[in-house]
Amino acid sequence: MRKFHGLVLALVMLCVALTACASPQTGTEAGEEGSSPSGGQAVLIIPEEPATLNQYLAVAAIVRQVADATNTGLTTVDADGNFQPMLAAELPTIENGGVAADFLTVTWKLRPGLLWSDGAPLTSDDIKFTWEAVSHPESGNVLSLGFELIDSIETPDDLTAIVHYSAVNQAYLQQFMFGLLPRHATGEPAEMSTWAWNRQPVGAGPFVLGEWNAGENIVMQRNPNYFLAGQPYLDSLIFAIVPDTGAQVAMMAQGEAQVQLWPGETKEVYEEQVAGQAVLAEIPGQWNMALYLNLSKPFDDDPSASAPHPILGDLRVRQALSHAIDYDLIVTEINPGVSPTVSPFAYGWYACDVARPYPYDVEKAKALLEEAGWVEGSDGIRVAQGALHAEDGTRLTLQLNGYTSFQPLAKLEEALVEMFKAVGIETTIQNDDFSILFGSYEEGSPRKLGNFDILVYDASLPIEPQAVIDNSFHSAAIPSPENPSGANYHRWVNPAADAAIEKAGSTVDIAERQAAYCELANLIATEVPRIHLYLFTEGYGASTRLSGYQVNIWGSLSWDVQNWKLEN
Amino acid sequence: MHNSVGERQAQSLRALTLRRFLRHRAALLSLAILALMVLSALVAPLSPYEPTAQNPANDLQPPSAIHWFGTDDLGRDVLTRVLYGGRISILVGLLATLLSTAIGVIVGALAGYFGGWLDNLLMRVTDAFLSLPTLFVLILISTMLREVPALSLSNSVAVVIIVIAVLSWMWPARLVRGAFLSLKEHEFVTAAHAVGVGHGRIMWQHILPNTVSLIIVQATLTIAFSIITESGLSYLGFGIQPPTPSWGNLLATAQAYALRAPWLMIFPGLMIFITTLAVNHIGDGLRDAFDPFSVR
Repeated sequence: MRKFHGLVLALVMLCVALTACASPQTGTEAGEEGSSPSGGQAVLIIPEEPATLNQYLAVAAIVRQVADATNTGLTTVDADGNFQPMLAAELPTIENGGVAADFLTVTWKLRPGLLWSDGAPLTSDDIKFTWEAVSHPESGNVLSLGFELIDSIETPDDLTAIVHYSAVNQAYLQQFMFGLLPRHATGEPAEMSTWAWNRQPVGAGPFVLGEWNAGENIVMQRNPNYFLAGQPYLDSLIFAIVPDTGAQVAMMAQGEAQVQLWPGETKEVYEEQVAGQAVLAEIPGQWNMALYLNLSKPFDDDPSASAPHPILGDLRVRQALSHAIDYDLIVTEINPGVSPTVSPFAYGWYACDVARPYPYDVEKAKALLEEAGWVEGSDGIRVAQGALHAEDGTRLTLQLNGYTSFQPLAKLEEALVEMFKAVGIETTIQNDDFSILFGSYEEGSPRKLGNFDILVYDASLPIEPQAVIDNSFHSAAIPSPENPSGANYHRWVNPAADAAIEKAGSTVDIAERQAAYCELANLIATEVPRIHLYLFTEGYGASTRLSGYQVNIWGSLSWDVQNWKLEN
Repeated sequence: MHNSVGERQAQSLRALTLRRFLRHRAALLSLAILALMVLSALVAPLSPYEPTAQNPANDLQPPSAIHWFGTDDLGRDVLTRVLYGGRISILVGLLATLLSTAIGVIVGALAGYFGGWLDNLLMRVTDAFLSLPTLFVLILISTMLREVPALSLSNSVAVVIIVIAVLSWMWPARLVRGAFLSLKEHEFVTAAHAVGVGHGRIMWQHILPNTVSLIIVQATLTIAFSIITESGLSYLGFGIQPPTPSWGNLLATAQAYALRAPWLMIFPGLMIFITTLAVNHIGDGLRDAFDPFSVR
């Protein structure tokens, strides 16, 4: 009996001791008042782990969400869509002499006294190195920033970099936005994809990497050499990798985490779930969900547009697909809380108001399919009979390819399957991991090789869209062995579209460029290489203790992390 | 006269085995439950609802009189989907086990009977498969099988069956190899050799029948493994693709709604739990029934 009591007592003491050890170390720095807003540690929940912290190698959006905390570039874009100088002393303009009248020379001046996180001086040579690394053909760079338009960079002194362009680059302010690369702490440009720096960056951002516990979390400490005096206010950040939404919400509701990226819920539902511990800070976002139709024949060992897709090669079928989708149902019931879109130009200075040319109309869809030579079969699925590109007897079967681990996308796909079935199209779903869907040409990614029917995923446009638009819609941008970085996955060849893209790229006049983009938007809507659906809202769950943050669709989760403060 | 005595003895052995099984109460109950599961899966088409009929305005309704198991995130009837899901999951369980056991028996028999370099080779292959990290095997096989567009467009069920078989053939292989190793030393085998019976016939007609009890017991374990692995595959996106329901992908979808609509998780989870428990108990009963030294 006595032994039993002793055992229980020991167990109780053990539990108490363990609980004390397990309680999180949040709190202010030693010597500061308990109610001071500065100091402290913020836990940020991310649903997946970034593969790298080098934004130039980032295929997935998650990289930027984390990497912006460790690295800063010459400029940033604020929530109103205006460029602001960061490492640069001021924005180069024609008025201050930073930009030459012919736009072929841009002079950047750095703030004096800049240091990298390891204490080494940050100079104009690092700007030059960033260009050398990112523009190197074997570096693995995936961002279309126009680095190939730079002829040379002169560095007459440590604070000045003069960039000489071979052609006008409308994106000159955006060019060095995603972080400068330190020459002394990285390596050879050709080896950028294997730099140790990618997992242990030396940057100019507000925080510096402390520990990276793969699969668990990424811990960062304040960068003592950050260029803004007195900032960041927080002591440390922990990016906790928690894939399960239920666990994420539980952590927020219990105050164990202060920020939850992409909660995927409407505001009312979310704030109820976190029981008042957090709010959902959100705005209409940048991520535009669309269906990408393959206009060329898949699985024919030919990535080019030469042979048309047996089903989707016929414009009438694409129009019918467009008519078959209940757009209202999608934004109200299937993925509630999103804003409908008709074109890629759905925000920013280039936003275009395009009317949907083929709205929801089931009868129209059926009529078009009949006209295109697809007659209804015995089981309700259409079969080719006199179709344009398909042999008689071919079933009207299409495969939807999306990415895994994202419930809203899975739900959308299932809804689309039903909508297409109602007009006689059989649709199967095959979702792949990010690495397969968004892989490179060399890796044999289906979208690069043209081995798919319909892709469904969300993509975004940066503040300077020309490079991305050119690489996504121009007929010269079809991925091939000669052009593996091409992104015209639909294999769309349209001379009028090409002309509009070239016009938008040939001038710096904003109004002219926008007109050209709107022309392109109309062509996309009527020729249907893509069907645009909606914009996700951008935002994150933020603890009521957190202040100083601002949701910015042009930035990332951590774009202003140097301004964040935690109350106690 | 000799024949009839022999026959009577053979009958009573079978009868003995049966009697031993019938005395294992848990196994009997499990057999009844499993029969009920299979029956309910078969009568799935009797449901007034279609498994894929969506009604998004009526989503996430808790269990009620019109929807006994509630509705899911697209307004589909959960009971109907669970019943149809049972068809797929049980079918996958059975077929994957069949394939896995077939491969395992062939590998194990060859290795155990012939011994020597063949045994070494086959056992190293088995060891290799045992030590491969499951995830890599899954991704590799899934990707390889989807390079063949004919297969990917038609049947994710086939892909899942193959994947599960590849993941589980090693255990029957080892078991059968052990049995063959010991059985081939027995006198009846030597006698068959002496009479001039070929290797194939000895393995197939003489030794294999003596291992059947072992194989059957292992197979019941593999059925349970298959059903659970199918759920695991769905979490990773490699399982049965929606909108076709399977218990696995129903569970995977339910995860996102765990707090808001727990019935989406409870019912498929319960089905998997009951079925695998029942199959395991039947395996126990069979093992005891075949064991002549069991005290019952």
